[in-house]
Amino acid sequence: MRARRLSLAGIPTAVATLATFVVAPAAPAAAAAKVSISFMEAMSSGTQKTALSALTSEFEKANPGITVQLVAEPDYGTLLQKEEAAVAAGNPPTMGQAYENWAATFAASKAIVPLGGYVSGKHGVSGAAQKQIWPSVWKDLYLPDGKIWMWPFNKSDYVVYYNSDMLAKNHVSVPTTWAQWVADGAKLTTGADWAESIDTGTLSAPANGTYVYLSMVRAYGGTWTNNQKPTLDTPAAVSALSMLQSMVKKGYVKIGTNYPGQTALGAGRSAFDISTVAGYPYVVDAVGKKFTLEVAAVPSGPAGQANALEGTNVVMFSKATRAERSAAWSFMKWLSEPKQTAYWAEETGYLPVTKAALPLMAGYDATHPYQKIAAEELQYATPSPPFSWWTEAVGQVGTALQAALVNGEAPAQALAAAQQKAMAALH
Amino acid sequence: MAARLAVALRVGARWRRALPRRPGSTLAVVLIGALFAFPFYWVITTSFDTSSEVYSFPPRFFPGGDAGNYARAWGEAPWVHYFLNTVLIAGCTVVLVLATSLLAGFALGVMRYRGREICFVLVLMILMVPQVVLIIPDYIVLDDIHWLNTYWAQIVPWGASVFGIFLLRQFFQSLPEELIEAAELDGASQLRFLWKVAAPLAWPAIITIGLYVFIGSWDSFLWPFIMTSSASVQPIEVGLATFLGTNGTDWTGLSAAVVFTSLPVMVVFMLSQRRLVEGAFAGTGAVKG
Repeated sequence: MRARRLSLAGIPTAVATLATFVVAPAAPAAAAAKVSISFMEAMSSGTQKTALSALTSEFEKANPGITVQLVAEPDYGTLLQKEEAAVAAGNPPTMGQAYENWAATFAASKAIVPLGGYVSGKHGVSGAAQKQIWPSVWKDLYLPDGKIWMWPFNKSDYVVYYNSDMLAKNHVSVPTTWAQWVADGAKLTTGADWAESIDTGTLSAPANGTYVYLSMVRAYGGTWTNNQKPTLDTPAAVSALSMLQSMVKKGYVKIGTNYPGQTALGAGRSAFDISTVAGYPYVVDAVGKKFTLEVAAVPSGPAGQANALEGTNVVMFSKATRAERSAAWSFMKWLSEPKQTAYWAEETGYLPVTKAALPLMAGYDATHPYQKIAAEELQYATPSPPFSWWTEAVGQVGTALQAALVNGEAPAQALAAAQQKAMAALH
Repeated sequence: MAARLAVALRVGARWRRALPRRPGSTLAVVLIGALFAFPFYWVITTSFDTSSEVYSFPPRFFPGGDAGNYARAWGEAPWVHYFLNTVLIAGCTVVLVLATSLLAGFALGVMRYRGREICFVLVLMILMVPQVVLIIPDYIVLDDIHWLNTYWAQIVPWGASVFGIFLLRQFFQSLPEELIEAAELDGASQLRFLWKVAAPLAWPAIITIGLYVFIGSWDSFLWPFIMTSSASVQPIEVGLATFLGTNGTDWTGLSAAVVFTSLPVMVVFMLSQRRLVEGAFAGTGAVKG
């Protein structure tokens, strides 16, 4: 009898819970009772940390009903590990940074919620504002099921940082094609100097070098995926890796870890550092006043220009209550608004996620041309494929790079092995 | 004249005593010491560099003049809190490990019962399981018992050490049978024998285990990093991760923080070094006897 009473008593609760999912997203929690949300992120050092803290304080001031707890992790590898552990334990944060492939994994296990209802809801984003978001960034918010699961936050792409004085001394012009980059490498590699240092990345931690190589693959006419399957061993991929291997063998390119491009460029030993625009403050710090630092677009290949869209989006975890979800949406939407994203870009080097921020950054862009160069590169930038198996595939790319560039394995063989293992991860 | 000669002879003798008897060995010791000390010296040098000087090549081997890194690094995190947390966690872990190692080592090394060897093999098998594999299941267990983000999560799971158990088991096995029989004849219980006879004799092993566990706990990073989220319970190593970023590392801030968080431990170790070494060898005579 008692059990029956209890189950009947549960009906209203169940109906209310169901209503939470059926009814359109509610008004921002600012007007409601005090809500506390947590944001798991990896903006843990330098200007990224201070800028995010400042923005969060400003948001809390503007929304006295919402408290945001920043849970900072030192790198993306740790962030993923902590988010996965928290999801597995049923205790995830309200929102978190996530790459496309992480979001695909979380969505498959219903750990996150789609954001389409919030975007088009009463407190959503107007059509005009949506159109202002960079097309590649907007496309990146979707998973293959056609739903918006992510909201843009810290987006970047690759640029070439270079030692202008070293180039002038060696009568070398800034490379606009990968072929010219190779030719420049020959001229710049003299004595103790060389052209570039890269981190190949590993199975568990892809690095800048992994994505620079993937950009080369596209510039050589290759693909990363086709028909929702990895394509890591295309002829274009073999050509790009062969070119890199020859650069390493000749000493033009050296392999390292922990941002070796930044270290070698800062030490005045290498001429180039191809890395994300978000590394700008770190590169400026490393160089100081030792030489003239300049920035250029990533070289193009036989198939044209190509770049990799970097940085993460924000996802909302499904364990959050209705009020927490509303508050989280308010926060993520607020962060992407022109004023905030412009501040974020100027402080950190990341790109503003919306074109509407550009007029606010006119003064900054005039003195910091790297932002304009990186923004123009966005049209060539491809986001990471939004498939859960991409985590394994991109790790295999790092492994293939190590095999070819460090161990001297034949590029075709290294890539064939990577393709085979990436395919195995599909099942 | 004779007095002067005597003084000169005394001074000469003192100098001869001060000179190393084996200059080759002394030189080797000095070189090895310098090799071990160099990384810390390098950290000190970096802590006084500007961000740009860190990347200078050839590197500068003498400290620069930018002491501002210390003030900046000090303001980055609640270091005193981190320090006290680390001392508490490492201290409690050492006490717990010593208690469990003594009891388990005694049970596996001295006591006679069926299945003792199987128990020992089971303990050793724990060594074969990599921590990374267990981290998410462990996280779920700690969440279930509401220990996430607590001191308990950083102490209790590390309260038993396979190394400690193994070392003490081997030590207890080397105890002469006569000693155990004599204690039994005197009517001492096994626990009393452990506490009054075996443990004091095992003092060198206990010191070794204590230092090993303390250093391991002090250096622990991944576990507290995953299991905690609040600075109020986190140790220093997690605090130092503040300087690592997704697009670069703040080397000067990190080096300054390493210096001021390491110095207290180094000073304590230097002051207590003699006592630790004396303690470690105090029981040696008893074992021989």
